[in-house]
Amino acid sequence: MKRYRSRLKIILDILEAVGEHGEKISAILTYANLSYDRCMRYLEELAEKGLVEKAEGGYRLTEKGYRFLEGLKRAEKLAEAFGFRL
Amino acid sequence: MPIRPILGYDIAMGYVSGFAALLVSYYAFRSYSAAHKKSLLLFQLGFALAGAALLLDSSFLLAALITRSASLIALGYSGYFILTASSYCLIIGSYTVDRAESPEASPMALFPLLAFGAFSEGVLSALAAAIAIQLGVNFSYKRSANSFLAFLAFLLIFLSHLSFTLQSMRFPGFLIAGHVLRFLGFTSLLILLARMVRAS
Repeated sequence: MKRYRSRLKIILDILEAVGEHGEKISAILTYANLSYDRCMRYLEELAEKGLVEKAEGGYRLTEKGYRFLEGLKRAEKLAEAFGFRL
Repeated sequence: MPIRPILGYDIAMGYVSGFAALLVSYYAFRSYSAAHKKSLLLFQLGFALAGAALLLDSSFLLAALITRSASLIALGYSGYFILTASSYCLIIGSYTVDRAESPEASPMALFPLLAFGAFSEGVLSALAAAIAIQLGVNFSYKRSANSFLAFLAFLLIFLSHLSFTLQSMRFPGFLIAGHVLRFLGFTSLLILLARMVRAS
């Protein structure tokens, strides 16, 4: 069965992809498992909120983005342990 | 059985368990701050009430021990029961809200009650069992150490309420078993928190 992925989970996957799997667009697309157009829409939105910024050949996390990612990862672990969905 | 050692033991275990519940609440609040999910806020409030209930109960027991006033024990337990029952309702409610927020979340129900003795502990047993079942279902899907610890914690808490029910039905030996099981339940939550903090 195809699993539903919430908007928050997609954002988490993108931030993880940017922060931990390289700054290049191709690496972000592969890890976040999104189409190019959809991924770019999310990245532009995250850039507007100051969570990522444009870098050479792609994007990188800002300081605010790192803090947000850490908070989301903690929330995901708690949600996973107690059966909530992010 | 001498009353002083039992009360002293009860107070110490109650304080430790209460602080463990408040730690879970704090961690859940930080998760809510990051994810802004209403279900996590209800979950956090549930654990805050659970912690407050245990601290209140232990404080009234301590006050009863110092002032030699048995009526304080009943008063403390009344507060403990109301807060714990509300806490479990909030935790169960958090799964209901989670279901409403996400089309794939787990289904649960909720209902509150009030009294003292076998009946009240029976109600708390049922509520704790409902949470344990929810967490058991979650563990059967996730198969992770953290989800197992969460399941184990509420299974032990459920068994502790069951022991308190039996204790109040003329089986005093279950009093100590109940406290040990509840303490182990909250210890399991502490281990879960330690694992999450270490991993992040």
